[in-house]
Amino acid sequence: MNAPLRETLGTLAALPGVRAAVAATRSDGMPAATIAAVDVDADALAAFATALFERTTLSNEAAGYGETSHLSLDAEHGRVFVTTKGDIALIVLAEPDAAAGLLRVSMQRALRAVA
Amino acid sequence: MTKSIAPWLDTPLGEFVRQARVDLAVALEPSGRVLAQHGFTRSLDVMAICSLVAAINASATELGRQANGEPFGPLHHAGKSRQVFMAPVTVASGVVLLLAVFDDRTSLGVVRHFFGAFAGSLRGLSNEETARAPISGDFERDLGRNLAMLFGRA
Repeated sequence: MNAPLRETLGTLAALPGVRAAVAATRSDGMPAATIAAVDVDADALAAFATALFERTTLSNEAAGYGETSHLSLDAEHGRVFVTTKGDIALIVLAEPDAAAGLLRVSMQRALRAVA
Repeated sequence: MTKSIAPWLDTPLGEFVRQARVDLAVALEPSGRVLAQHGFTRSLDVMAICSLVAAINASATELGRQANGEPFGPLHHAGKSRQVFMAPVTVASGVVLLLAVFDDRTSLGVVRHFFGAFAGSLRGLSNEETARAPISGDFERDLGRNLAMLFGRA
């Protein structure tokens, strides 16, 4: 993992409630770099989060809503956030009470730093 | 529809195909003998693919031994519209090779994830459960019989 990417993921992972920060390739769902809690399957997170993002992108295009840039999914026990630029996807897995606004802004900033 | 000559592969392969959303899948022995297939409509295609996969596996295994000290693991090739994923699984009775062909309805990450589940379910089977008919010594006859069974001509 190169230093800027490690620093970027480290910044995201240090935010309150974040359990994993992953940089992955959007097209094939493979993780390029990961900072995660030990019980998080980062490979699965990267695979499913990017697949979900791709499906959402297609749905939004079909509905005429244009390009998708950010995805937020809330579940009973956690939240997943995905933001992309080109073939880079940043994925954050967080606790249910994590601050979505702060995470979204931080992810956009992080993406600008690495893309 | 998944068809096999090894009933213990029916459920794991069917689940893999459904969950990973691959178009085509073949499970075979390293010798090239087909064990199960999903998505193929012509026996000739399966025969050709099994021969190619067996050859690729033999090359990658030996190349891995020489360059890496042990056989190489999964292999992935991406084409313009379709991709292939090939990987071995060690089961109680030997090695099973899986080849999956997929397009942009899924991704390598998803296919790899569900391959892990497929491999895990096979590793949990006993030697008796994964026992196969022995190769008779006449490879072509074995291959022809297996293909006939898979395509409903036996």
